[in-house]
Amino acid sequence: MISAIIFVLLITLGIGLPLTLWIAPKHNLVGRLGLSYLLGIGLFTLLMYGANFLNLKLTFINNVLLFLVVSLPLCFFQGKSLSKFRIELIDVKKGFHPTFIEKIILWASGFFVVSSFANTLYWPVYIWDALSLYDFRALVFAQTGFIKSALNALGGGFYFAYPLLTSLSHTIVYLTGGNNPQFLYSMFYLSLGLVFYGLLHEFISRNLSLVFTLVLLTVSRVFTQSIISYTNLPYMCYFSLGAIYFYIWSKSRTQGYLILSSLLIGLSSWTRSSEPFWMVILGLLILVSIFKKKFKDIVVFILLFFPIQLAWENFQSSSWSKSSTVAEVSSSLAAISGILNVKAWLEVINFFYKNIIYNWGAVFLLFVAAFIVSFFNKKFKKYYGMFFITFSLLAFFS
Amino acid sequence: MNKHKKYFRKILTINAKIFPYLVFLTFFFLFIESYMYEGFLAKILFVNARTFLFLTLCSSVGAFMYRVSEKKEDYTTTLVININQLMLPIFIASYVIMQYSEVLHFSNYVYSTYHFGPANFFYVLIFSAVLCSIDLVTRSASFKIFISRIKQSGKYRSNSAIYFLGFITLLCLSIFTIKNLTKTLSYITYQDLYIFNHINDTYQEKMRRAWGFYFDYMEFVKQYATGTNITILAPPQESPWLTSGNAGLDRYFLYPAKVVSATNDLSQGKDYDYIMISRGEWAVADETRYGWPKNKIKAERVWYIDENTKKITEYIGDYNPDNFAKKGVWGLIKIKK
Repeated sequence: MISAIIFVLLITLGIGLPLTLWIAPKHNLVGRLGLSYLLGIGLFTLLMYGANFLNLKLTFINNVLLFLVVSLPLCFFQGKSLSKFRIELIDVKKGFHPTFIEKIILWASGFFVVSSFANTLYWPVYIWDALSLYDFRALVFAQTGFIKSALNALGGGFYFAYPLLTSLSHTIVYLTGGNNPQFLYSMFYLSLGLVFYGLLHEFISRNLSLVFTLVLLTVSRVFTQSIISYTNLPYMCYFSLGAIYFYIWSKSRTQGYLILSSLLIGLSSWTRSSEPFWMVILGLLILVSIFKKKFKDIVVFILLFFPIQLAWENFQSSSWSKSSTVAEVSSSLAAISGILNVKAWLEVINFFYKNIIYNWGAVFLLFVAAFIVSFFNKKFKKYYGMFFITFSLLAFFS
Repeated sequence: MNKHKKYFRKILTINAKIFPYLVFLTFFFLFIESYMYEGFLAKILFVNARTFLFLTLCSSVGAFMYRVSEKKEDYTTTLVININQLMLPIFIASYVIMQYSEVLHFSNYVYSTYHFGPANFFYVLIFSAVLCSIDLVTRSASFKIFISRIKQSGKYRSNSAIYFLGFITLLCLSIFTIKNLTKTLSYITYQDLYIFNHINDTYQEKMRRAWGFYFDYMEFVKQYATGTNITILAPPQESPWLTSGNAGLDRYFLYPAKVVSATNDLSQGKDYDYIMISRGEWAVADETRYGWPKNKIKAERVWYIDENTKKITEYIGDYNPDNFAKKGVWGLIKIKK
């Protein structure tokens, strides 16, 4: 089991870290550590998938070779940045003197992360969908060594229903001698906290960033997803952080953040492909690029996102009759036409009342008042969209 | 001093006076709901105990603001806050003991034995902890510096809308955090205590805990359904066989055997090597639905497993559903080809 954990950490530090140093050299240090895991594990599973289609059998030795082939050149080219990062890490550690309140918040955050790891290291994969699909595919891949033939032999569209990020990450653990891949989800949880803190700290003070990171880590749905082998938490990490990077890029125009956003949104579709949320980011990107007259950005996104998204989409539609991206877009457009359906709107309003307004009670009325104030207040007018999104999320996750 | 400020100070003073009594009332109501059940108070007073919790937390903000602005505190408030600080470790210890008892015995043990619900009691703990935290923060030097900076800048007068928004955001965030913290901490406490108490459990014991008898049944089927390239027929994927009838789930435990869910009750077929005998795991109102397959099947042999004792009995000959009462309702048929 320890060898599996070490190998996952090697992927994080040997592939993820140099990649983040290359793409976003000025990224916050703490956030970079979390991002390294997300990029490392996501892109390595994608490489395994690609190499397997070139007849490279899924074995431990082949995984090590694949890792070395990718990691060595990356570490070589990023050698200077890596040693700079190491020095920076030591400096930050030396200069880190948290206040009493910060210490309490750090201990509390640590408690949630440690609890997540305690659960995932103790419990084997036991949850329904993970047994019938995600982990089952991983075990079969590890036994047979070939993805395409294994999925075809299993038969049925069910085994093609979800992309392979989580299954192949489980396969990495099984091939490295591990017997319980659940810890990967605690790593996603930890990474989410680290990247969220890092990105917040680029804009607000350290203690406030710590407070809001703790708030995120305590969200019950996020925590419970961190201790089971479902695709929900990895998808949330990739998509939400990809959207945040996109938002920061649209404000600051840091090119590295657009690349990170494209990769993370791409990896979200490598985790779950049925949700077409990536279209929102693409749509917003087109609008921002037209508004700012910088069409190069659309090309960057397309070049990084679509190869990842289509890697699974094409295999899925060639092996099992599933709708293509074009069909997905046209069905989404058809769904948009349902916007005029009054009955559907009444159902939405009813749901909204029962699940949000009723739950929040008087606070919801205060929120409406606050929203109106923010709309008419000149200083807040430019933020009212973000304000609305924040409250909607609070309402949904409470 | 302008008129608004005067009114504001008056409200703060009144709030500071009633705050300790509100704290006392909230604790009282939360204890009542811990002893009775959630929603008990709403039946009598038409107000939930958690509404009191919310009101008291809002009032606590005002009470601590009064302490900072007036640089003094009501004697009763100090007394209540100090008692709360003393009680917090006791609340934590009591809660941990209750959860540990549930881990040692069974879920809902504390309520069924002592008529005291740990889930509702957790709100007492959270309320106490939040009061202590607000007290700690408002006493801290950095908070005092923060308040004096706001006062000195005088911006709050011209930016009242921003402060209003800030207050609403803080309020929503507090409710959001308390709600989530309650759920998550309660879950973690139980899980961590369970792990601590069952640290040496084997894979089988953990899976049995998660899946109950279904896991033993799958182990039994795997043991007796021998041979290469075999196909096992599972019950239809409908109530009450939603678990054992899920071929995808069964396959995880029985791989490399192929598992197929039956589409109807005609279970005899040339393509199958084995057929599962399943009572059904899910509750149904119509008791006659339990037990599958319901028709006679020509078989080489039939194995039955007892759900309670796990004792396995072998029967050579055809399968007859009328033997359910004698043989048990879980088993495996090796069909005659």
